[in-house]
Formats: sequence, C-alpha cells, structure tokens
Amino acid sequence: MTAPTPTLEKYVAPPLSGGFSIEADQLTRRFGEVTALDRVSVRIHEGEFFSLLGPSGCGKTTLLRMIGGLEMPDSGRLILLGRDAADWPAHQRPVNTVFQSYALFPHLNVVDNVAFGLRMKRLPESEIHRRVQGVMEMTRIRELERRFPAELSGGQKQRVALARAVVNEPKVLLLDEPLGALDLKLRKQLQIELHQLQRRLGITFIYVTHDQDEALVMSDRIAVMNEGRIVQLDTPAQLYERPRTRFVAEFLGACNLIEGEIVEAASGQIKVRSAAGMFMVAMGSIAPDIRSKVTLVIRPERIVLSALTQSGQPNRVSAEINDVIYSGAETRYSLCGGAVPFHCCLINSSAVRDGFAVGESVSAYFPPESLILLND
Amino acid sequence: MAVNRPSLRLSLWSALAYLFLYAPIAVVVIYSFNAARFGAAWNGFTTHWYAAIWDNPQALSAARNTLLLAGCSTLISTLLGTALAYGWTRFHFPGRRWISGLLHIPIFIPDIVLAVALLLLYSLVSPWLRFFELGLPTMVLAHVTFQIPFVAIVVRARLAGLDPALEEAARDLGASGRQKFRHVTLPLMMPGILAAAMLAFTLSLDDFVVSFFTSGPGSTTLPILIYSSVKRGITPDINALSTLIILASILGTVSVMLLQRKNR
Amino acid sequence: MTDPGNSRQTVRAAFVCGPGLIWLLVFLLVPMLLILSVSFISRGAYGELEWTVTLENYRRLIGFGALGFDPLYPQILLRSLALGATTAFLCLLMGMPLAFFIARLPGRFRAAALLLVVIPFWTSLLIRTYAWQILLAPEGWFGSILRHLGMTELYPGTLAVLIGMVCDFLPFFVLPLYASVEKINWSLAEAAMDLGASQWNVFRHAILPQISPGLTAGLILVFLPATGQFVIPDLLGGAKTVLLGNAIQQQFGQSRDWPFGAAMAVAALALVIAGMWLFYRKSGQKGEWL
Repeated sequence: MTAPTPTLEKYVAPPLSGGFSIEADQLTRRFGEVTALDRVSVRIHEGEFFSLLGPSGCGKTTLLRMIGGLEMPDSGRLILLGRDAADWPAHQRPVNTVFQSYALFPHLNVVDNVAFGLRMKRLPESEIHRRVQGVMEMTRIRELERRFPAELSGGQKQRVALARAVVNEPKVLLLDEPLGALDLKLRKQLQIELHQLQRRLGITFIYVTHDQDEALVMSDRIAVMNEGRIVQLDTPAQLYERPRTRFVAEFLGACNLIEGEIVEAASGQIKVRSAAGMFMVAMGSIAPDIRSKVTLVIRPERIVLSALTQSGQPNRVSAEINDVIYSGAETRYSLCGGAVPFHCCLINSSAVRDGFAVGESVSAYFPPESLILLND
Repeated sequence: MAVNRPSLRLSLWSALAYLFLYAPIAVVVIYSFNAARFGAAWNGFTTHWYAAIWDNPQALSAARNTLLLAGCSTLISTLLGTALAYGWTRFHFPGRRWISGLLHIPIFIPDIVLAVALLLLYSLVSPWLRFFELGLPTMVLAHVTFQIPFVAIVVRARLAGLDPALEEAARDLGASGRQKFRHVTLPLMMPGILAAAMLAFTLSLDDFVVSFFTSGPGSTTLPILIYSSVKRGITPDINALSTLIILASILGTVSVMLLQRKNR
Repeated sequence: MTDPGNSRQTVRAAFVCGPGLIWLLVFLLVPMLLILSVSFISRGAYGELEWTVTLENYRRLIGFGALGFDPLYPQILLRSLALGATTAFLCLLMGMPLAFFIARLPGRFRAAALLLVVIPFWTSLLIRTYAWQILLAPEGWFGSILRHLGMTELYPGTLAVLIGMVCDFLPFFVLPLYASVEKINWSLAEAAMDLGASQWNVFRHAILPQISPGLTAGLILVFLPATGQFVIPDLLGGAKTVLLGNAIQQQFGQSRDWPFGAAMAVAALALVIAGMWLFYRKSGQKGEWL
C-alpha cells in the first residue's frame, strides 16, 4: 500500500450550516422481544461525517439499515433529504451502502461490480464507462478490473465495495463497519483515506463502528448508542472531554473512575469527598445536591505526577506506584492512593525521560478543569 | 486435529465393500464385450453388441422415449422445483413448515406405492380425459412428481447458503425487485439449479418401477426394455445397452459432484 | 426484511410456490387418498372397482379373510419386515467401517472414495440387480465358487435377494452416516482414551452419540425402501420369496384385485409414515446427505 495520493484535495471544513440529510424522529424497531431501536431522534447535517458508535446489538446497524431502506421502523418518522422516507423504496433512494461483508457479487468481476448500480439505472454505456473508470482511478483499483471477488484481498474488496457505492454519486453514503475485517495497519491507512474521500466528495457519510478510535479519528460528530438509544451526541472532542454518562466515559478511551460524595457546592465549585481525598470540581450544567453520590472521571493523561510534596491539599493525592508499563510513545503507571487504584499515562518527551519507578511514592495532581462529574 | 490413517483391517474390509458394490457394475460392462451369445462362459472380446444396438429398432425407440421422457420431465420439474424452493426460502406464509414434510414423502415412499397410486388416478380419470390414457404424457407427469422434491431440496440448499447481504446490496444499488432477481439472485442460484436438473435427469433415466406402471403401448423406455429382456433371459446386447446407461449415470454423477463443489 | 405473516408475501408465495405445490397435491396427495379410499371398497367379478364399503381387504391382509384363516399375507408382511431389517443390519455391518474408512482418508483421496459410493447410488438399480443374476447363476464365476462351497440353492432364493438388497442399498446407508462421521470431534475420543476407557466404551460414549443422527437416518433409509422393494425380489427371489412390493404388483397386475392391492399399499405407507416420524425426531436434519 502506498501513501495517500496527491490527487486528493486538502482538508476542507464541512459546511455544517446547510440543510439536514437525515431527520429521524422517535424511530422505534422491535424484533420479537428485543427492542433494537428505542425512540431514536437525530438530525444529521448535509456533508457531515457522522458516526454511530456503540457495542454490538446497540441498534446502530438497525438505524443505518433504516436510512438505506433495508429496514422499516415500527413507529416514528424518518425524513431523508427533506422527504418522508416511509414510502420511498430502497432501490430509489439516493443512498448507497458499503456493507460489512462487502457483499460483492461473486459472479461479476470488479468492473461489473462497480458498474452494477449505473447499469440498473440504464445509463448509456459510454457514461457508465467514464464514471466507472473515474471512480476506479480514485479508489486505486484500476489494475484489478478483470478480477473476481474471490481473487481479491480484504483491503482490495473494501476498495471495490467503496467504489461500487460511490460511483452512483449518492447524497448519503452509509458505511457498516467497513474496516472491521482488516488488520490494524491497513485500517489506520484506510481511515485516513475515507476521511479525505468524504471531504473531497462533500456528501454525507454515516459510519457505523464499534471502534472508538476509528470514530474519533474520522467523524465530525458521533452518536454513542447503547441498548437502542443514543446516549450522547457530540463532537469527538466533547465526547472525550465531557462524557455525560459513565457508559460514554468508559466506552471512549481509558478513564479513571472515583466514587465520592458531594460535601459542598459554592461559587462555581463543587467539593467532593472520596476515599482518595478531597477534590474540587468546576460546576457544570447540572446542579448537584449536597450528600448525593457522584462519580468523578479523569483521563489518565490528565493526571500530573510529581515528586512527593505535602499532602492534604484538595485535588492532590499521595500515591504509590504499583506498576510501570513502557510502550514507546508513552509510559503507563498503575497507582494506588488512599486505597483507590488509578492509572496515569505520561508522554515520553525528553523532559520526563526518567519517569518514576515501582514502589516510589509520588504526588498525583488532578486538575479541577480535567475532572468530570457524573451523577449516575 | 490429526485423524489417524485407516488401519489395515479397516482398509481391507472397505476394499471388500467396494468390490461388493462394483462387482455387478463390472460384470455388466465385461459381459457387454463377451462374444458368446448365450450363457455366462467367456468366448472372446467383441464390440459387436454395441453396433447391434443401432440395428435394433426396439432399443432405438426405447432410447428415444427415455430421453424424451427425461428431457421433458426434467424441464418441468426444474422449473416448478426451483420456484418452489425460492418461495419456500424467501417468503413467510401459512403452512410453510409443512412443505418439508410434503417434499420428503416421495423420497421415502416405496416407488411401487407411488406407481400404483398414479395408475389408479390415471385409470379413474382417463374415461373422461383422454390425456390420461397411459403413455408418454402420463409418464412425464409421474416422473415430474418424484423429481420436484429432489430439485427443490437441492436448490433450497444453495439458496440458504447465499449471503442475504448480496440481495440487499442489489436493492441498495438501485435494482428493482425484478432486476435484483434477474441480475443477482438467479445467477447465484444457477449452479444449484444445474445440479438439481442433472439429478432429476439421472433419476428419470434410471427409473423403472414408476415407468413400468404408468407406461402404455409404444412408450417403452430403456429400463422397461431391459426388464422385459431380462425376464426372457439376459443377452449381451442388453449388457451393452446397460453399459451405456451406466456410463451416462457416472458422467451425470461426476458433473453434479463438480458443480456442488463449485457451489462452496 | 421479511415480516412473518405478511399477506402480500402470502400472495407472492402463492404465485411462486403454487404451481409446484398444486402439482404435488394433484399427483401425490390425491393419488394417495385414492389408494386409501379404494382400499375400503370391493372388487367386481371382472376386476372392476365396486364402490361398496368393506373392511374385507384389511381382514385378508391380517389373515382373516372370507375363506377363513390364511397365513399367506401376514407371512408376506412379516417376511418383508424381516428382510428389510436384515438388510439394514447387514448394511450396518458393512457400511459402518466403510464410512469410518472414508472419513479417515487424507483429503484428496476422501472425495474420490466418497464419489465411488455416490456413483452406485445414482446408477440404475435395475441394472445392478440383474447383474447379480449373472454373478449368482450356477455357471457364473461367483455362482460356481459358491457351488464348490456347497451352496447350491442360492439363486433364485431369499439369500440372493438379501445379497442384491445389501449391494443396492449400501450407499443409502453409507452416505448419511458419512455426513455424521465426517463431523466427529475426535478429541472427545482421545480424551476418553486418555482417561483409560476401553475401546468399546470409547465408541459407546464418545463416538456413538455423535453419529447417532446419521446412523438412524441410514438405517431408516435402507429399511423403508428395502421393505417395499419390488425389482430385487422379482429378479432374484423366484416364486418362494414374495415380498410386499411383489404382492402389490401382483394385485395391480395379474390378479387385478386393486382394492386388496391398495390395502397393501396403505400398509406400506403406514410403515413409511412411522419411519419418517422417527427420522425427523432422531436425525433432526434432513437432506444434507443428498
């Protein structure tokens, strides 16, 4: 595999102020006893790279299939490109899908697979040829033209599946875990390519994945789903920095959870007592009650370690290092402070090259602005 | 997981079983080249009996009937059985779960029961409908009846093995229901349909019992001819004829196996 | 994509499945029902059907006809069952090692060995049966060996029928059994051997449960058609070995007593239905050996 081609244009910020591609209102779908989608409402902008992120069975694929027309809601309304999708059959929607299994037609070669959608629309062969060649150029599968799907590698199949969908110039492209079957290195490379392709085409991408890294890297916005509902919809940065529930905090990236109790709330600050000590937290949008049980969340890389100073100050915990794992770019520490175990992660810049050793006592500082208060 | 190679005892016993299976086939083939007109004694090699088939109007007419019967019945049963398999796998409808049982009846019942039952039907209806007077048409009806289940089961196995995402992809790419069937589903079913048609053809070619009871004057097939000849005493030209039929069966079986392998 | 019980689907299914189903209804179920009804009527003086209801045919079948006790037909029934069961047992004896043999061959030989079982399966039973006439005839190779061994009364007779049956139906037994043997998890057997189980106990507790669906399917697939066979006893059995199949043929042929023949066909059908029920209950899966 080569580096991204220079033909792809530079990053262009998407115009999020435009209309909506998708307006879903209270979509519900049941399969027997199981509720796959539970009153899901969401609006997706035109030209947005939108990800549906969640564990398997959370309803993300059902929502995607509903947008593609392969699944119908039991109740609720779906507006697709300003039109009610209820009586809009799948094969007429300007929406195309890249399937998880790629679903390449085994009896057709690569060119015929890519041309399939255009042939179904009965376009003139000359135009089909022009568009197919263009897309195959863009996805770099020209040399595979005459091969059959059984003769392709996973990465090649993925590109063909993408070309086959994109050649139809859909208004919305649906991607159902398209990189799931590939190895890590190829996945990373294709993530970048997909992102660039979306910027270049300027169409809406709706991307289903259970891989948080993938969603964070590519998306403009992410809807985190669990048990048939959207639990939080935000930009990647917001989701990572300000998760609103424990589920979101734990699902996206590593985090430390510290149980505690509110003891004071005044002048924009909340004081929380925990087994590890006192913490001051910036007051968010929620108005907490005194004595209510809360959970504090902090990302491992936000904790600041330093040589032991005097303890007793808020947001500062005396801790002992239990384990050190060196992993190249960073070093991860397992610590224990006041019987509360937590993890910490330091970038291996030259400044802290020496780091700390197992058994060493350190002072861990939890910056108030990095602490997230969850009351669930 | 390494499985032990078969032991010597097992191999010898199996060789014996194969010998037992192929002894009758071998004897027919060998005797078809026997120069002796009567009896079991070997009297030298000849291909005379194969040439004799071409001068035997009875054998030629039986061969014509057999091929006509097998061709017509295979065509009809492949169409009906394929459609049945398609509807059976693709649609939900009341009574769907009974189809499997219905299809297994002709596979399980002794040929003779189906044969006499059809004979009874034909003889009760033919006074009103001349079409049902015994002859090639009634034999075609009978053969299609025992072929349909085999066709449906083989095609269904193929359909059930297809990735449902393929048809969804066709819809997603703008194919109407008809286009989807024409350009995706049907081509993907084709290996299964071909294998099923081969099986149906072989079944018809080999059938004796049902043909025997549902045939009329002038609609003698090769198996019926062989049976009546055997009743009078086995002759070398019958062995030659049988050898050709065996050859056709082997070719049919091997090509079905190859098709099935391609299916996977 | 598909909702169960959708009425539009029912309509489409009717168009697609309809022709095939109607065909089976008209040429399979209706004839069976006709056989059932005719088995309850009587025969006219010239062999024509006389539509008066009677149980006479069944009474005759179990030996208590109008002329008093006659064991002929109960004997035929029992002989058919016994021959079917013996055939199944002999196929088990011969076919079980064969199935294990094929399963233990290295990959490339396995397909060929299996093909060698499938070819007779699809080769005319009539031809394979009459070939035994040549083999077993007193002046034939096999026959003369047997004569030297002192077995003179072999053909035609019950033993000849049995030989023909086992040869003809062996593939019916081996194919479904092989489908099960192929899937055996041998590590279970190894574990049992590790734990010190005897060979018999390993087979009984680690192997047999795994192959029992295929075994049942194979035994039933031999027993049922063997019991109703007509060609094999007709060509190899002679006058002494009349089985159910021949008896039915006789009634619909020379004797022209269709109602009585129908009663015998119903008996054969009842047997099959019992067998099919067993087959479904025991083997669970169907048709995969095809």
